[in-house]
Amino acid sequence: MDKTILIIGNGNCAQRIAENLLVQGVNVIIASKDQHFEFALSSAAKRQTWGSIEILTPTSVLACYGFIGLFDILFQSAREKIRRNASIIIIAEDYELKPNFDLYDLNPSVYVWSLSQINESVNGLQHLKKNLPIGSKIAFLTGLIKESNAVIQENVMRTALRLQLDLELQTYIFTGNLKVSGKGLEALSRELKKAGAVISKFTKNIPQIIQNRDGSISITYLDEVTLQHFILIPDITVVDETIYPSNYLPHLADVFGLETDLLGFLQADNVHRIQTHTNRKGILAAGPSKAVQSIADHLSDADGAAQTAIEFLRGSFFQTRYTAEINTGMCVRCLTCLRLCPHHAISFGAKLGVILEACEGCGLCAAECPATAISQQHLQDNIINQNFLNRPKQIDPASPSIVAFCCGRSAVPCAELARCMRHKLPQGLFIVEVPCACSISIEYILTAFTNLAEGVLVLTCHEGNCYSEKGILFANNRTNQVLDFFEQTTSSGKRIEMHTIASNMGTEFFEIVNQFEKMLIDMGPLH
Amino acid sequence: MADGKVLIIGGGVAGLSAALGLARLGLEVQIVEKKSFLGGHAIRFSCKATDRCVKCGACRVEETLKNVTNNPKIKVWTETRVINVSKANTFTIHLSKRPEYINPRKCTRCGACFDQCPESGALIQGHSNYNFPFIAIYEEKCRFMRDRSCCICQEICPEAAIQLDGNSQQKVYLADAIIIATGFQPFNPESKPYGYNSFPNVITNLQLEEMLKRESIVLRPSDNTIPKKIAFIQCVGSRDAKLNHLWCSKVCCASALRLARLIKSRQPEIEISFFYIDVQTFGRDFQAFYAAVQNEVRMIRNIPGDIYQTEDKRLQVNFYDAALAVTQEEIFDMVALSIGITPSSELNKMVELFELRLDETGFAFGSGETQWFSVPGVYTAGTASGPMSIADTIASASQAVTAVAKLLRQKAG
Ligand SMILES: Cc1cc2nc3c(=O)[nH]c(=O)nc-3n(C[C@H](O)[C@H](O)[C@H](O)COP(=O)(O)OP(=O)(O)OC[C@H]3O[C@@H](n4cnc5c(N)ncnc54)[C@H](O)[C@@H]3O)c2cc1C
Ligand code: SF4
Ligand code: SF4
Ligand code: SF4
Ligand code: SF4
Ligand code: SF4
Repeated sequence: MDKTILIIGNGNCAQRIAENLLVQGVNVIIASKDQHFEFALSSAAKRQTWGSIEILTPTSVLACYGFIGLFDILFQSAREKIRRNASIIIIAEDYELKPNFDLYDLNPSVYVWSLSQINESVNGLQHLKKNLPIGSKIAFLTGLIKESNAVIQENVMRTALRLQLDLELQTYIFTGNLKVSGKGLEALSRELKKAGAVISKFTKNIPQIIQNRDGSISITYLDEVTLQHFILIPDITVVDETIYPSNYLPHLADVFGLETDLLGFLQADNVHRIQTHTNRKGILAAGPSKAVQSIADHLSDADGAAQTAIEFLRGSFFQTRYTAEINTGMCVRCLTCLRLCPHHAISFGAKLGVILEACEGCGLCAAECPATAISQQHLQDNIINQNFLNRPKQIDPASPSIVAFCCGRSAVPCAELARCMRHKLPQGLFIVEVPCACSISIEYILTAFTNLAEGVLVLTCHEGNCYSEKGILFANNRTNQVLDFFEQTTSSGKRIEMHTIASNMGTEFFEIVNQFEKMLIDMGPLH
Repeated sequence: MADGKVLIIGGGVAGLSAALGLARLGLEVQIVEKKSFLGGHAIRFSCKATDRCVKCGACRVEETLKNVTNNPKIKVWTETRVINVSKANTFTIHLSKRPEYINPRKCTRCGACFDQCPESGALIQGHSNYNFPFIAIYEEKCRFMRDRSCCICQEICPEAAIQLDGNSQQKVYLADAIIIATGFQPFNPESKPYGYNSFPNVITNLQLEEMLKRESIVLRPSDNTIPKKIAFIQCVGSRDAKLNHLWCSKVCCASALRLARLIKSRQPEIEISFFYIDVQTFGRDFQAFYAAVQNEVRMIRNIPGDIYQTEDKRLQVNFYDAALAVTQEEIFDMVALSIGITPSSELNKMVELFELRLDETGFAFGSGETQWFSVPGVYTAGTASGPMSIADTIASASQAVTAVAKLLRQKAG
């Protein structure tokens, strides 16, 4: 593999990723859409840097071709188009803070500031000192209408503490839930109270905040501890902020084909993606491009991303044994596979092909190809293998033959756990391991029935925990289609069920298969 | 990448993740775990998915353990402790491994010993398919260890896998770097006025996690019936000035509310009340989760003063109702205490062995490279350095791995 890694980013996290890679002898390209990227190696790193660095500013990404190990990226710089190759891409764009003026229905004025605004002023203390006499009242509004988080509230508390101690102002924090789930924050909140700040928390009746014509504020509230009403006219009201992903991220998601979370960060809400993985092998999302988190967590992501990138360079990334293969003779170029592949592993050139390095073997393409032109390595052996064909086929009404298609990430380990917890699983249970729910095609389900299964179970990960994001939806649709077909042709009830399960739930597995067996016994034999 | 050998102390998700990261960089790794089973606290947790996954991270621990088991670069020493360390150019570590009473290569997990053992708790079961062996002897309870009055398991084991009078093994191991991943100690709530350990129906959230994993529903411990009303009490042993525990444990709001919703989805007839100070933000869809949970769970912003047991083993919870400014008494069938993450006493041993520095809360100071160390080459990962979730623990392990990689690169010149 070529040893170059592209970092797209503009802040501390990007800087630290670069440093981590350089000291490990990896070449780095940093591409930032900002005018400049200040890159200074720490003195320790300077002594031991082996990799080379190239900085491209200001550039934005236009297109990305290729796959892990051989990405080909096209940039637009101020004057020209630039092309670079990289093995791995790491994205670490800083996020943006937007003040919540609208949320509280307030207009910024000399009386109404954003959190960033007051932060900047606190750093130039002298100016504030001149304008605010000792004892002036500063009110912070945070997490009252929408829940805040520990990152923002740490900022609120640190700012308030400085105002309280350094400027001897009287600070008030109005909040719903005080967010202290960060290192040292509980202690900080106590220090703040000790310094004289008032922290008022509201459960139901949040304060009434009114902005007068001159822009000044009055806050009327019921204190939940003393049950007394108060009116506060602060000299400055500080409105907290919301963290948003950089406005560059939607474009990057588009160019690189990345799944995002609800807010638009470049990592889907999926535990398989921990720490910095995305749905594309070889493209990582770190720090402020990954999620709302503290600066310490950004730096830890910088370590994690660099480490994963080096693992990839060493070739020690997960190579599935179930890679897909297109029989170009059968392919009708409908491009279903290209459109559906969750991992962008189908290449589209003179001829259509699977990029083996990028393929995760989920099997979605194979199951959905209308021309059945795609097959998956090793899967066929799992489905109709000798064990299955040779399994005892005496039709014993007390132990009906059940074929369970089990996702190798969840249901298979679950079955193993159930066995070692010594749950008694049905005698007629036959487990077919599949790499992902995606690959359980209608054809496979029907194959089970034609091979004398009395019932079929489709057992996959829970929705939201699918390694290929949407495998469960596809499996569910196919299950329902077979079910519909059955309901039209037989009246003997539901012989196929789909359940979702996690890898650590042996007892649940046992309950599902046993209930299914019981139901089949009640229904009587099919064959 | 340079060569090197690393020793990891602690086989929870922190130690396991660090081991995987190092092995993938090509390093040789040894994990030392004092208990019989790898996985730490989190391997015992239940999946909390309702109609969809709620990202509690528990299944990631299972997956990490599986990957460690399958990685030939990682060697695991369970039931082993570090006795002594000396440091020259590399660390020389003396390990002591308890006798291997059950031979993992012979044990087929048939469970015959488990069924026949006359002493409850003397044989314990693992939590994952990747715990080898899956059954272990708990020395403190076993009658053979006490006075040699029983050796039933050894006699009946059809595989002759049990050998009760084995010897402990001593090992010397050389390592270039050490990662301390000794984890946390769950707060012991006995000192709180909630009757823990005297009222059977007061349990901890850790016990509730295990119960849900084992039974998939909640049952009242005193009589195995389905409880009608459950109370969760938050921040037990955390955010507590009297105990000088000036930290939030970070994970218990998420854990308790996810458990509450799981219970509601399985046993909707159960009424759940949630006593809290503040609800912490967790997950990427917190806003929606929080709105949903408020519809399903009764939220009471107060931490109860004390609990009494009624004659029928129900529990009278006394709390202050701020809205009405009165003290209320209410009867529940079961109470789950959300106990916090506290520093493990093992850290003191690490201080002795490695001159590890602790911060004012008693956790290890910093993690990864920011760990202050008087002995270069010693790093921490996971909850040894403070409360964190499984995801954060995995992230902190990557910091430790990066620090080790840098050190080795430096050594190689
Ligand atoms: C009630 C509760 C619920 C939780 N729920 C969640 C949740 O839903 N989601 C989530 O993300 N997190 C949750 N957490 C947090 C989660 O438990 C931790 O993040 C995780 O267990 C930390 O892993 P660790 O490896 O740091 O520590 P541990 O799990 O404590 O593992 C440490 C390991 O080191 C071993 N060890 C200790 N000392 C030594 C020694 N001297 N020699 C050898 N071995 C040693 C121990 O035996 C243990 O196996 C919860 C925590 C609690 C208390
Ligand atoms: S889905 Fe099948 S037929 Fe359609 S383009 Fe892909 S391989 Fe060809
Ligand atoms: S098996 Fe999955 S990852 Fe591989 S090409 Fe097909 S759809 Fe893409
Ligand atoms: S809820 Fe937790 S254990 Fe269950 S699938 Fe999701 S992350 Fe895994
Ligand atoms: S020796 Fe007896 S008490 Fe000890 S584990 Fe074996 S059966 Fe149980
Ligand atoms: S996470 Fe919630 S329950 Fe746990 S200590 Fe923090 S505030 Fe209390």
